[in-house]
Amino acid sequence: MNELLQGNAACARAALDAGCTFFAGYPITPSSEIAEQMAAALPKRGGVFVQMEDEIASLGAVLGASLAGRRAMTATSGPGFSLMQEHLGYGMYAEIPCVVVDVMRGGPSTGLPTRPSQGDVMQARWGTHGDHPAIALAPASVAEVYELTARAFELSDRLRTPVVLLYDEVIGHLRERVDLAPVSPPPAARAGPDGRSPYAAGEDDVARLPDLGSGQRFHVTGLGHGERGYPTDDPAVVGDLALRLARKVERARAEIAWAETYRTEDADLVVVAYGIVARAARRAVDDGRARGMRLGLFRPRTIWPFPAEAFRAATAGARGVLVAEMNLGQLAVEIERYVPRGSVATLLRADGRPIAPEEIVAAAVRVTDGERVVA
Amino acid sequence: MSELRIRFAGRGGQGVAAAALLLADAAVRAGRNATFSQSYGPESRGGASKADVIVSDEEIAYPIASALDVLVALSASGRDRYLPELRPGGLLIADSSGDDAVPGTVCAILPITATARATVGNGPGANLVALGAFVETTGVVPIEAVEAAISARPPGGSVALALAALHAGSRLATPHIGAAREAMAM
Repeated sequence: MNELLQGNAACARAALDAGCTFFAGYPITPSSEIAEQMAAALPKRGGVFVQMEDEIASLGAVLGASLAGRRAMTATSGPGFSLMQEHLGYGMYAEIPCVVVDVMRGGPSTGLPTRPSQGDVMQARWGTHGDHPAIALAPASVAEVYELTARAFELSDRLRTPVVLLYDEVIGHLRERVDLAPVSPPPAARAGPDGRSPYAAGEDDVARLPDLGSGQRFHVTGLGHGERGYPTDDPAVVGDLALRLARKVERARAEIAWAETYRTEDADLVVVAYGIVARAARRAVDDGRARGMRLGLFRPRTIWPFPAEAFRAATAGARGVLVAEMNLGQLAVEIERYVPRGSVATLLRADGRPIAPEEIVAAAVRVTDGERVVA
Repeated sequence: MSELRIRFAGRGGQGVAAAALLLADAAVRAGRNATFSQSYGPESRGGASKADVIVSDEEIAYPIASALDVLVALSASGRDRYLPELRPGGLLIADSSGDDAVPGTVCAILPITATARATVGNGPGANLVALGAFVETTGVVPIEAVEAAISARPPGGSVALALAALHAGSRLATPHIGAAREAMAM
């Protein structure tokens, strides 16, 4: 059925369809509609909504609910995402699945509450301290918010790690026509009380924690820990743990790292963009081609881990890459790892305004003339 | 028809986004493709507010409007701010309390605020009068689709009052149909 649906509403609906029964959060623009809709829907379905005192407690409650067997999520924006970083690291280290939605607004600090940004790209990768795996998905349409929210739950359960859904204010508040096919990702395969060590991983490097309360007693900690979950600083044990956590996401990279390409086959210049900027870039590619420029678009749907293979394939025949993003070059730094030195140009905005298609076309013209930073 | 790009502009609290949302909803109900995007400041009242609706029969690549076909301005500041983005020959719908005709555009300068006050009394309503004027002059969506959208989610809570404001707006704009349709066809 065709309907006009908002990005944040699509996120809430996908969570409910995916069997999320626990939401704890602290409302913040531009993500508040997610909390609002979860608050309205969850109690009617036997679920739990808790408005917490802050974002630190929000993610703490979500991790607890998840350990107890619930599919759980929270939603926030940059300031709240900053507060969640400690518990995000806890979730990654203690291998607790959950979904964290960050609807990006201008920052740092309180910043620009109602204005879009893509300033949390690196925070989603390295916001919490220490070496850790990270998964962040970046939808660019209302339909894709629905699709990737559901996928976030699936991935989070399968890899037993928090998954971040990262989109800008424009996508969060955008309403567009959708015809959604409801998804219902299979429930988490959780181990019963089989007596195995809770942090003993299988060949896929994923530990299968038993659910709390299912009969097996086990220990959960943010300290370095061994397979039984008890604290240790034995270098062999904690070194192996760091490597295994990195490996479990790396092993899944081919499956996780999604990207879309558009008209890259014969492109001289490939524009890299995500979120609302990718929508502008798609228009810019068509407009530029109408003017005789051979432009293409590479759109990562997964920001972390970055879809490097797909990017290499999409840019193999190109002379240059233009990264357009609403920050001062956070993904551009990652892109530079995969292309010859000097071949990445940037079009960057950190003023709370989206990047328009005409700006991308104009930047492409200047890049073709040899410029590198087009601000 | 390719994309039709419409912007509603005014001050926060005037219902600019609500009117635009009803239009986008109506367009989808009428079988068209539509997007709605908005931009507003941190204030809950006052401040600049705008909302864009793009109506098309094809996929809409980028939902933020430029080269506007129609600008519906509920405040003089909204008009002044976005008039440069109205394409030559585009349609301006604005309130006669603060606006004069603008050369180079097709203008429907109407007593929007006064009509709203006469129809629904104090409080919001100018947004729905303006929406009625938009639907009447452009014919982009059938008025029945807007009525259905209003009935599903009446702004202000009263379907009867909202419909009264909508219909008052469409009656107000009837004399401008000919010129507006020519502007749309350009």
